Amino acid sequence: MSEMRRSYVRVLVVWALTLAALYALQEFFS
Amino acid sequence: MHALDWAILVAFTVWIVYDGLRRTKDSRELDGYFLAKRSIPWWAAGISVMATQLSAITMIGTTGQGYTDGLRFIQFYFALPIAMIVLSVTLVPFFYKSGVYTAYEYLEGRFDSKTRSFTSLLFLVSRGMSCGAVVSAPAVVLSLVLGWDLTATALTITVPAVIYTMFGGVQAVTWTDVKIMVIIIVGLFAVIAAAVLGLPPGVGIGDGLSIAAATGRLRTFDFSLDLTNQYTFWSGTIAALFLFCSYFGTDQSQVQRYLTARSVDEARHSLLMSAYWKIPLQVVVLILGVLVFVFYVFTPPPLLFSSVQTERLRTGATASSYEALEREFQTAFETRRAAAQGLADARAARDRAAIERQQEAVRQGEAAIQGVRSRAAALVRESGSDRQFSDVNYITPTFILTHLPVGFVGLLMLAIIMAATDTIAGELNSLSTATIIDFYKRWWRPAASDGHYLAVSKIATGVWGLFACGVAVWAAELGSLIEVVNRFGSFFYGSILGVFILAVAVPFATGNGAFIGLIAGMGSVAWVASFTRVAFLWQNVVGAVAVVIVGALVSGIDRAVRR
Repeated sequence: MSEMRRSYVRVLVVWALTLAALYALQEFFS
Repeated sequence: MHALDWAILVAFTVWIVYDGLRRTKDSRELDGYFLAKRSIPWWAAGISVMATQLSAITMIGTTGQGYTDGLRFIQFYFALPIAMIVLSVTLVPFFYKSGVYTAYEYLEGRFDSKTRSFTSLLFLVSRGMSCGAVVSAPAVVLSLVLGWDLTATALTITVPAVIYTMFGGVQAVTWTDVKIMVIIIVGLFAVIAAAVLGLPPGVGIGDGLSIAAATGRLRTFDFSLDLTNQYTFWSGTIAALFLFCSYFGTDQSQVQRYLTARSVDEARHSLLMSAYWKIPLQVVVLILGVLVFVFYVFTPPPLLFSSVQTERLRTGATASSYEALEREFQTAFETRRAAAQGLADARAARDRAAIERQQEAVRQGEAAIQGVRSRAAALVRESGSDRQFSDVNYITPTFILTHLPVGFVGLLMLAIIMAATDTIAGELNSLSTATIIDFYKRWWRPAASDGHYLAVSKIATGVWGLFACGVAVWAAELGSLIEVVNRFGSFFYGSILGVFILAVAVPFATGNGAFIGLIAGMGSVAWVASFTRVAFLWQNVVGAVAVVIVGALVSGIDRAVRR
């Protein structure tokens, strides 16, 4: 896999984790 | 403001302008002035991309939205990382390898001159207007602080940006962006620290977030399929994908930032920096607003954050009505404060039943406060002093001016003004580039010297700066500023994106097809905006889809007729 493709995958992983963290924040304090 | 705050504000502003001017020596040729001879490292180009978006509107309007509405607005940015990947794979290599100065220049090579000129004109109109809205946010703050006339304030903010952009070109803009971004980040965390440290003893940040959650301010995800709702998960992931692809892929104010990078991959990496950091940064901005709200749950806030409007209501014919509202507000504040303290105590005691009881009490207290605030805002509008009055943009400046220590007030005012300055600088630079490259050089003087084009570019930068000031005064009347900017864009963004989709993804698309498609796309957006209640984000989808469908059909007919 090329360096750029690895970067795209990293972006997608960070994106999914960020959304999951926001959802967890919402649910934890609700 | 204290003398120390003024000293910080003036000294940093002078330094920023001086440092920008120092870069004039690297900007004596056209590709140096507009593209920095493609010498900017990816991280600086990436910070510049982020700084251009992070305007004073973010510092004032978005933090205010965090205060009134919580984290819901973050959904707007959900598609941004995806858009960055899409653009890195598609448009970025096309732009970079074709050696263009503007995104629209690429369209002439692919289609024809009329499509290039029309899209560039749309950019000039929409970006020129939004540039004005960007100026108006800090102009509102400064006119609040100094009691200055709004026009004079707008000029005070714009002039430093015009000076270093005129003389230093994109080099000055990029390296100034890097410095300003550091100031902004420090400023944001200083406000967060002040809000948290201002909570009463025994109330921690967890309690604060729990209070915010009880009022719905931590509710981030809205999965409803309501097309009239501005901020939902679906509008943020689908409709906003079109907006961000258009904004970062076809808007010269962004494209020019990454065209300065050293290679295609560095240009891609500069875009991916936003993909990583934009959502977390916006969360910090919104959380700031949420924490300022929590602070004001325990510390009495003014009924209205706009001190000017408060003074008018107190002294005018509305004085007795306003006094009654203030008394009611005071009672509602005490009720909510007691409920919030009760919630913190119940959390400490881990008493589940008491927590639920107090959450309900906080909700009721908050509803009472919102009711009084709405009536006070209505009183401002009915009194005729400001018929579009919205208190949102006054919240953060008021907190900074009244609750931050000396020195930090100056730093925060600097951060707000500089946030506007770097955005304006980037936009003026791109407006000037599109004006000169797509119109002046293309249609009037195609073969003049670099020196001539540079001189005209500097004049264009100054003229656009004046135009921005004019629009700023008008935009300040339109309410929550963040939505003003996005509304300006949504009328054109989707349609322009549609033209670029035709260029890259529809091999048989012709110039006539793209041009007629563009007109059809804008017509569709105008129709949807006028006759339906569809939220403005979805207008980007309507515009792009209409352009691609009509453009492809007309291109097919165009080719058949030619054969």
